[in-house]
Amino acid sequence: MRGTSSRKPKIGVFFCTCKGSIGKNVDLNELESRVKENPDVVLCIRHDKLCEKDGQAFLKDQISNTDVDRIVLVGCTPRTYEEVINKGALEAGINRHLVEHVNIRELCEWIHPDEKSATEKAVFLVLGSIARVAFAQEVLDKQVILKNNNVLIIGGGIAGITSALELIKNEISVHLVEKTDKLGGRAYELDTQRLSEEDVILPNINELIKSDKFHVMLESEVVDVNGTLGDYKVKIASKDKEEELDVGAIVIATGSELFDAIRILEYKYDDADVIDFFELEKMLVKDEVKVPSSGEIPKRINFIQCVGSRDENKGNAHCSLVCCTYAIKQAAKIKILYPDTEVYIHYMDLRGPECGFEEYFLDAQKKGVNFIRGRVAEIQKDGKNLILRTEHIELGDIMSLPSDLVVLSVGQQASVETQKLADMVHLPLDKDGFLGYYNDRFEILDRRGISIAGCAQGPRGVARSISDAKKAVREIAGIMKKGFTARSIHSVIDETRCAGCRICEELCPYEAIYMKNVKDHVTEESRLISSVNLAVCQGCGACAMACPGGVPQLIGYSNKEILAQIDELI
Amino acid sequence: MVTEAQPKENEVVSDDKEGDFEPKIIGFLCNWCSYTGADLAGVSRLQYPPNFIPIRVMCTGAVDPVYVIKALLEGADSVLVAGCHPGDCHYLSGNFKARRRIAILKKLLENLGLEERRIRLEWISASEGQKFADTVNEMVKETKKMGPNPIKKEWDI
Repeated sequence: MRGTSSRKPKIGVFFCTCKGSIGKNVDLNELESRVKENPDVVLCIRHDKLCEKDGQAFLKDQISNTDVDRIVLVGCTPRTYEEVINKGALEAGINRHLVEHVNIRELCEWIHPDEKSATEKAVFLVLGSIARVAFAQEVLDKQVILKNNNVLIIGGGIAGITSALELIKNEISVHLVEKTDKLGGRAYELDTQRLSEEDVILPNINELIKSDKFHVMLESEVVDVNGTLGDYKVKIASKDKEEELDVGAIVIATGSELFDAIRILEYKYDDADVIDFFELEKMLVKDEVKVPSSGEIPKRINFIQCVGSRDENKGNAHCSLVCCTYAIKQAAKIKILYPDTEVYIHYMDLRGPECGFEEYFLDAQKKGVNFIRGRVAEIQKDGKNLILRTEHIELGDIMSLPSDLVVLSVGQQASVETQKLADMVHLPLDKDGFLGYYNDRFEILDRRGISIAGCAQGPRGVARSISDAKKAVREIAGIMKKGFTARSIHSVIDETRCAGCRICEELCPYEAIYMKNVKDHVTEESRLISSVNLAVCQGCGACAMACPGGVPQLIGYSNKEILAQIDELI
Repeated sequence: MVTEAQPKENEVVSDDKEGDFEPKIIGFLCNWCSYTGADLAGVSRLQYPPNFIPIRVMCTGAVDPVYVIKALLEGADSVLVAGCHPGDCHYLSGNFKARRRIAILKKLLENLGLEERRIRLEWISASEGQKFADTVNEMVKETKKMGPNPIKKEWDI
C-alpha cells in the first residue's frame, strides 16, 4: 500500500519523556528499537521536554541538520501543547500538516501499569501515525480575499449609523437600508441625544451624508438574502422598485420596537391622559409638559414601570433594562421644570445595568421624586380625573392616587421585521424573539459575515448600542479590507473529479459549499462543480464523508491517511 | 435486534481459549469531546485494558462507514465511534449524521454475518473521563464474550 506514495518519505520521530513522566510503564528503549525497524524512519531521537525553550531549540536543530521532511512527535496529548511544540518544527521549515502528534502519555503511560501491553500499544500508536504522516500533504495557509468588500447595514437607527460611520472611517463603502423616511431611529427623538453637548446623532448623520462611500435607501426593506461571506446577493424592495445588491457582509441593526400598551387593558392607554414614555419624551424635548386633554400643566404625574416587561401573562418575560433609567431621568427633568408638581414612580424593582445609576437615582430622590414600590392594579376614571389603584408594599397598604397625567414605561420587544430577517439569514431567535448568534461559545463573528448590532439582539440603551455597533463592525472591517487566513484544516475539492451531484452542498452545516461553472478538462464543455468557500469552511469533514466519490478531502484527515493508519493499527 | 445475550453466540468456539483471547478494539474519537474525554481518563489515571487503540478524527460526522468496515475487515474485533452529546457538536450537527450512519451500518453488519454489537456509538463529553473508561471496559468484556472477529479467520485481506 505504501508504494502509492510517489516519493519515499523521510520521517523523523521525536520522543518526549515529559521530564521522566513517560518511560515508567512504556519501555522507551523497546519502543525506539521497534520504530527504527520502519524503513521510512530516518531519525529517532529522545528529549526531556520538547515544549520548553531548549526542547524547541533541540527540535529545530535536529530538523535542520538532517533531511527529514515529516515529523512524528511522541509524547503528551496534542490538545494541550500541539501549537507550542509545533513552533519548533515550523521554524525549521516543516509544514504544519506534515507534523503528527502521538499521545502516549494520557492514552498509554498513565493508564496501563503492565509494561508489556503498554509498550505494545504505544508501538501500534506510533506506527499508525508514521503510516499516516507518510501520506500527509503539504498545504500552505491560504489567504482569503473576498469578491465584494462593501457592507450592507439593515436599519438606520443609532446602531446602524454608528456601524456605517465606523466602516466609512475604514474606507469601506456602505449601503444602508432604512424602512422609515429618515435616519436616526428612536434615539433621534430622545431628549439628551438631541440637545446635550455630547450630541451623537445629528453630527453623525450629517457626516455620513457627506461621505461618497455612503449609499442610503430610505423607505426600503430587505426581502431576500442569498449567498455567503464575500458574495451576498440581497434583494431590496423600495416603494416603486425592487433592486439587487452585491455585498460582502451584512450588519443587522434592525433594532427593537416598543411594547404596545393597549394590550394591557387595565392601564387605559386609549385615554388621552395616559401616555407612554416616548410621547412624554417628545414633550420634554420642547421643555414643556401639558396634560393632553386640558392643555394645563399637570399637578400630579404617575409613572408606571414594567409595562409589558417581566410579565409573561400579558407582555414579555424579559426585563427591558433601560426603562428605570429613562423614567428617573424624565421624572427629574419634570421636577426641574415644575418644582411644584408631585411626581411618583411605581416600580417592582429598580434596575440599572449601567454604572452611575445609583447616583442618578439618589439625585432624583433629592429633587423630590417619590418612589413607591408596588404594582399598579388598574387606572380608574372618575369623571375627568384618573385614579390609580395601587399597593404600597413598604407600608403594606392599598391606596388610590389621583393623577393628572399617567406615563407608562413600556419596554422594548423584538420587532416583527427582525424575526422575518432571521428566517432569511438563518439566524436563531432566543425565547423572547430577539436574534442570537449560532454558537456564542466559540466565535465572536459569525463566519458567514453577518454581524448583529444594537437592540436586534436584546433590549439596550443608546450607549450600549453604540459600543455594540463598534464591536460588531470591527472584525468585519478588518476582513473586508485585508481578507483573512483560512483555517489550517479545511476541505479541498478535486475539481477534475467532482461530478457536481450537490450532496455535499446540502450537507454542509455552514453553507460553505457553493456550485461554480468550470470548463471540463476533457470535453471542454462547461459544467457545474462544487467548490469550497474557505472563508466559511470550518473543517468538520461532513462533505468528505458524504461524497460518493471521496472528492472533497479534509486536510490532514484524508481517507488515505486514516486508512493507512487503520492498516497499521491491526 | 440482537440486544439480549444469546447463548449460542456466547459459546463461540474459537481457536483461542476464552481466557487467552485479547481482542483488539479500534476507536474513532472526535477531537473536541471524546478525545479530550480520553485524555481526562488518562489524567485521572482511570485504568482500562490496553486492547483499545484510538484514532483521532475531527468529528464523528467525518467518520466514513468505510473506516469502520475497513477496520473490521482488517481484523479489529470491535469498533467504537465516540463523539459529543447530541446538541453539543462542535460542528452543529456532525454527531446526528454519525448516528444515522451507524444505525444503517449495524443493519449492514448483520447481513455480513457479524454481530451488530461489534460497533458501538457513544456520546462521551470532554468531562466524562469515567464514562470513557467504563465504555472501554465494557466493550473489552463484551468482545471477549463474543469471541474473535470471524472475518479475521474467513478472509485474508
